[in-house]
Amino acid sequence: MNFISSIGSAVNSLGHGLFVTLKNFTLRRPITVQYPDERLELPERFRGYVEFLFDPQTGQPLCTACMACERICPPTCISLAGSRKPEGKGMRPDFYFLDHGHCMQCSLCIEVCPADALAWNKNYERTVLDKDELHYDYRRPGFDAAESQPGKPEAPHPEADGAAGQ
Amino acid sequence: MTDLFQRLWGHFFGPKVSLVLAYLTDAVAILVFILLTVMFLIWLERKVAARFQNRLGPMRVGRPHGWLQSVADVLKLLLKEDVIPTKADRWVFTLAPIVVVVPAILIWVCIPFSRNLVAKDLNIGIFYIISLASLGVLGIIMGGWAANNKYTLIGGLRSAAQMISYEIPLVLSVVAVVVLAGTMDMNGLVARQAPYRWFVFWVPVGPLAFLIYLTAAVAETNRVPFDLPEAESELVSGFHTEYSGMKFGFFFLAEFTNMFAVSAIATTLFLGGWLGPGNLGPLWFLIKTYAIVFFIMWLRWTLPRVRGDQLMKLAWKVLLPSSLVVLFLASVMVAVGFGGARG
Repeated sequence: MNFISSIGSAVNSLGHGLFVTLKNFTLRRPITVQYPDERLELPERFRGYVEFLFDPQTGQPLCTACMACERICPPTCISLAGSRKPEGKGMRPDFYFLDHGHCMQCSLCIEVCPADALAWNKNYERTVLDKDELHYDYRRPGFDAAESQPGKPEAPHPEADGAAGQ
Repeated sequence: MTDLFQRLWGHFFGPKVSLVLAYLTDAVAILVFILLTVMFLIWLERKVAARFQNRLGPMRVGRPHGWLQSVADVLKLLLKEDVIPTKADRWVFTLAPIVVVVPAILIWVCIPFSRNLVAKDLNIGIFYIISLASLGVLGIIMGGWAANNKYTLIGGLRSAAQMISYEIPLVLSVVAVVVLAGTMDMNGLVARQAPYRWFVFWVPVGPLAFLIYLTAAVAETNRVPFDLPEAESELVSGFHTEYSGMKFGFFFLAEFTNMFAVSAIATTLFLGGWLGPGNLGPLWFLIKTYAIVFFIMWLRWTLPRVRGDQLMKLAWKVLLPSSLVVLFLASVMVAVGFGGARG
């Protein structure tokens, strides 16, 4: 009788197992996100690239060239220089240069900026074919860090230029 | 099916030539059907496995749902380099996949898709099929031995032990059905179940024999939970570790052909074969067979692998006594008057 009851309990547990898998087969939708046709919904505080922000009305950068981000960046990937605004009041950056190859996404530059001129964007498709494409000068017109294919190959390196921007 | 083709060829050739051509056309038809079915089954397995695991499976190769994935797989296997290990026994190594595949295909000679769609309706149909099932074991032992690799050898021997052990309950449960039907002819077995008295409903023998047959059949075809010979996590790939390219493709083909054949036999023996409303014999046959195939795949993605000693214990201590009891019950049923040969 033990024999038959053990067979019975085996069939019973088999049935339970089959039912669990059947529930997964019929009721649960696949959770696959078919990249690149579909994209994942990103969390609100996702860290992609550090984005250099511009004033939406005037189109001028919000940066006041206080150099706080350059001082605080741990891998020293930010460099900038500033000069007085032509209108007289306040500073503005002549060039703003951030090397994404060295950025460790620690957020310190964004937190320390007093003008809120830096923010995270949600771009995670950041492969490039040439390391120089990771060196971004944000003052070049037409550049958009939020695009999937950021930057143009001929991004100038300020030290190589020798000049302080303009 | 042979006479159908014979009439067809008879329009162009004389009677003897058209008979030979009819046999050749039969063979070609079966081969084409098996190859297409196996390609479809491979795709189906991947899709079904994916859905059980909450994912999508092949989607890209052949845009709607990746239906060309199997074609891509076959092309890949054909183009792969054929590696034979240096110290391997070359003849045995090359012959082993053939010895495994040929019986798997030969089984299909006897399977009835419809009253008239049997390649050759042997009157010892089911006996022929069971004998062929035993030949495949030899190919696995050859494969495990020839690769000159101790783990492969272990996989081959495990497989041989498993397949031989499970053949006995398989055969006995089939014999129980044969006793009830009074015939070994495949079409006769189906006819005995007309119109809706499928053998699986012939209590008490039917359901018990069906369960024993299914368990033994899953073990015979080396499917999970009985895939110890392939034991991917233990023996890399068991007896077909050292094979590449089309030789591996043959083992793969044989496994899926066997799975489909075993389901087809279960349909014929227990679920009424091609019987069903209307004149759609082949359609009902395929529906029932695919239902069993789906059940076998369902088992694969539900159960963990059985350990070697548990496997042998199940065969010898559980299935064998049960199948003997079932055979005895079938004989009692016939003696009392249910079943038995007609007329």
